Amino acid sequence: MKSRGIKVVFPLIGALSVAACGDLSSRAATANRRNEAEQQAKTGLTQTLYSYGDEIVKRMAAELVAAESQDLSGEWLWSLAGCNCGSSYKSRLLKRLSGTRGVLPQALVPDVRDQIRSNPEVNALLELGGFGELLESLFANDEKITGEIRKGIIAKITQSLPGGTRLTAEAPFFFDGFPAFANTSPATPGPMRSFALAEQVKRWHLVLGLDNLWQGVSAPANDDHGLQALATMQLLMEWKYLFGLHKLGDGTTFGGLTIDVAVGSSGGLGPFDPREESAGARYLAGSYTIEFPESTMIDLALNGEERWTHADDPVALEEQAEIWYTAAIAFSRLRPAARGKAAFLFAPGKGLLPDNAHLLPLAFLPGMKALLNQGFIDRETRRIFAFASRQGGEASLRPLVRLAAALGKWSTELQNIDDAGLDDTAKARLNRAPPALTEASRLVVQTILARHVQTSSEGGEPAVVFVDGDHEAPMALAAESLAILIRLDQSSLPSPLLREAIINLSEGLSQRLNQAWERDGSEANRLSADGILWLRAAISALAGYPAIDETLPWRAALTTALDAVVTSWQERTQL
Amino acid sequence: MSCRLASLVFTVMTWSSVAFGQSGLLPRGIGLYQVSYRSFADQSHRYDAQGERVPLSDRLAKDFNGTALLDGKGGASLQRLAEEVSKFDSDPKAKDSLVNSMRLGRLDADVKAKVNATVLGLAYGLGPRWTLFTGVPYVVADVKVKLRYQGENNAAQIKERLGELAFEELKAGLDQAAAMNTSAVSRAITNEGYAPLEHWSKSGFGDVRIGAKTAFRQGLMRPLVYSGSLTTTLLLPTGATESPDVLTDVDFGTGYYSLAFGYEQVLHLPQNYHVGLNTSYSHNFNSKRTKRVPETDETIVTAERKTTVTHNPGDDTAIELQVGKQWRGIKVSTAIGQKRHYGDRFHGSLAGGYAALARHSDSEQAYHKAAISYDTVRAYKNQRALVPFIIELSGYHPLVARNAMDERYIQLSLTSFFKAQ
Repeated sequence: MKSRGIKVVFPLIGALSVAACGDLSSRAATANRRNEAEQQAKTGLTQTLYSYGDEIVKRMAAELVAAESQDLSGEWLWSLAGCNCGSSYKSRLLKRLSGTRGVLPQALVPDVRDQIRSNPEVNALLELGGFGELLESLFANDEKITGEIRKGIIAKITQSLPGGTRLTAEAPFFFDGFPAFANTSPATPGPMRSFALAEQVKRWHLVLGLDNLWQGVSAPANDDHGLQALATMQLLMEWKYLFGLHKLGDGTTFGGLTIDVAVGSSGGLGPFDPREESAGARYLAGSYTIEFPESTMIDLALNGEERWTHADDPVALEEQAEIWYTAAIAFSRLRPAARGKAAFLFAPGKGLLPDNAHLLPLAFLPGMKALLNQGFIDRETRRIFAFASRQGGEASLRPLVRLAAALGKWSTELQNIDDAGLDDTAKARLNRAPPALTEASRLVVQTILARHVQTSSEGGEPAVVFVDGDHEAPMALAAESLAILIRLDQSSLPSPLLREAIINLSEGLSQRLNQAWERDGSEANRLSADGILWLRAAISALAGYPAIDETLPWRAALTTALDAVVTSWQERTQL
Repeated sequence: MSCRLASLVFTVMTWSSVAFGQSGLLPRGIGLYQVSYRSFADQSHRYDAQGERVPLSDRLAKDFNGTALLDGKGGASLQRLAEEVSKFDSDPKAKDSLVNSMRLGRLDADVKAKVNATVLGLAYGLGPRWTLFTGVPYVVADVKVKLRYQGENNAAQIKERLGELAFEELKAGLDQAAAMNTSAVSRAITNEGYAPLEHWSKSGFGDVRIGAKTAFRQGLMRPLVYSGSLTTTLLLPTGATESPDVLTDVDFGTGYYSLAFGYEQVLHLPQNYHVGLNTSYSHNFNSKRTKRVPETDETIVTAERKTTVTHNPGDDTAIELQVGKQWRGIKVSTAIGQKRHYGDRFHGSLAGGYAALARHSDSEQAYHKAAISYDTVRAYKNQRALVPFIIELSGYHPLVARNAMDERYIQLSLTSFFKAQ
């Protein structure tokens, strides 16, 4: 019996053992699977960031800091303008700009000319006739007038901004037109007689791109919104001058540097008011040079007749796309529906900006339409050219990406223009724009996908990458291109195909980054300062896709690293 | 398809010289009339350029995949659609490209053609050395087509995948492509001005032949006798040619003048055996035709592309070896032969795929023919028969062929004579 009992027990023990082993083995299998998943998540870029993250963050932050003290490149400024970061640094740049002399001296700025002309002391001088010179030196010399200008501007800003401004008349700023970052010595006596629109547009974008004034965000420490308000006023003054929209009662027009699309720059420069029936289509491009007699501010303001000449250079798509994009940003900031927290800027009577300020960016649209239809885009062959003359071949990746950004932004902004306060005719005309802009965007994105996206094995493993010409695009351009495509997919051109391309390109970018950080690889894989900002923009934008971290498991780690980079940079550059 | 069935009719016109008897000539003042009825086997296959037997419908059959559409196999509209889709690919030829993933189904067709021909022939002995002849065929053709559309159509998925990237025109094109079915294809065909495919029939006269024949006999070593005859035939383009508005049309005539020279030689052997060798050469003259000129090589060509083109037909050659025996009025014979039509060329003022018009026109065929006949002419001459006639039953089938129809037929012909003077 006993033995039978043992026999009975043994099988039971055996059964229990089997059951226990089975249970144990299933738990082990689950743990193995979890470890495997964790291991997989730690491969590639994730593993690199896991191993070297601190060092990578330090290196990238140092790159950003170094960019501040180098010559300001257009690409750095453009990427900076588009990133929602670095407000301290941007404020410092605005301060630098405000003290920089411009190509159009403030005495020739129409608003200032008006102010000078209506100044009682000046009028007194005029009536006194022959004693003019003596009285001028005593009462209305350049220094005094500059001071008065500053006072007037500060008063306007103080009246408009809640909490006023710390801008003072003693701090040297000028209301010149078209200053350049290159000329950074404050109050440098000129002459700076030429400006390039390709350079000015970077500044405009920087001014408009800073959220602070528009979003009610606090200004950086030791600063306020005064600088941004000043720079915005200056921008709008410049645009008004470029389009020649400032007219005196006697019909005199100040400025007007636009070019007729049909004729080109050989037809001379002139004003353009799109509200006029016979306005046609005109645009701004290239470099402008001013000539005016060396004289006092009073003399310039009263009698000065500046003369502008224009360099007859080919009209470049990249420059125009940047101008159009910046104009779209301006419209999005200034339009009534978006004023929200910045409504005080437009308050009747005391507002800094006129209520119809949002109409000014619309002046770029007729020229944009004409240049696209008759210049950059050949609709028959569906080709997009680098220059409006169609010489010099098709556009490369950067101009295409910037054009896509501009078209997408305008397409979004013009979807609903009920708040713009336009008459029925203008509204009807503008309502035709979004479908045309969308079709143009489609062509641009199609061109990018067909000609600038390829599977490359340059780095060893095949990866889907952006190409420009015969080579992989530099990292900064690749990151910017990705950011713009994501933006379009998430706004005006949602498309599963585009999304597939974005995912593949993101994977390709992560592979290139991994190579760069693992082996400190080729120059093409090096992340420049602008590349860091664009990469951050792209990776942040990817968060807009649901369940993206399952598809791109390295995204979260990279986002953390990039946020740490910007935080570190901002901490190092506090005023 | 029309060119395929044309060769059937061409074969109808072949003139048998056996009816003229051994000398091949009619005595002066004697006439001959002959009625032949040729019934072709139901035509559902043909021989392609590689000599393979393929269904008649293969030119209508289309696989509407992206690559085929890019090559223009689906017509100009679908080619444009595929090109638009391919513009989103950096490498359209890549396996995983968007255009390569495009599938719009497959069009198949069942085609059956029935052709019969009756030929009325007349001959007259002009003199001891010359016989004139003429022949007029009457053809009846009936073609039935059943279209079948099947397979995967992923145009809607492609449109969805493109999303807002697709241009409005492309979206509309993909919507249309997604709705493709048999009715849509039939409608597309009739919308282009073509007659409906399903059933078509026609009857009418073919090309008239007129010719002259001369012959001689020469005794060789007894009992061998050698005879030879030279025939000159002019083919008149009196038969209807295919309509450019009927996809399944049949040429009843060649549409061009042709001048043929034939030499028939027979070696008469003892015990009424004979061995013969026939050769012929035809020179075909240029003509004008009305055709729809494809843009590339699409089957469905838009009506706007209908134009007059110049047809440069290739020449024809033929050779046949025959063996036979005669016994008391009954003659049996068997023959193998080879005939060739050299490729045609088309050209015109409208730019387009003229090579497509001439594709498959270069044809050749090796065949076997057998015949049995009963001849009362000698008996009539010997006053042992009341009426001189010849009745013949023959059969023909291709052995190997290239770009040719499956020309199997049986033929019954009745020949009799009359005195003209």
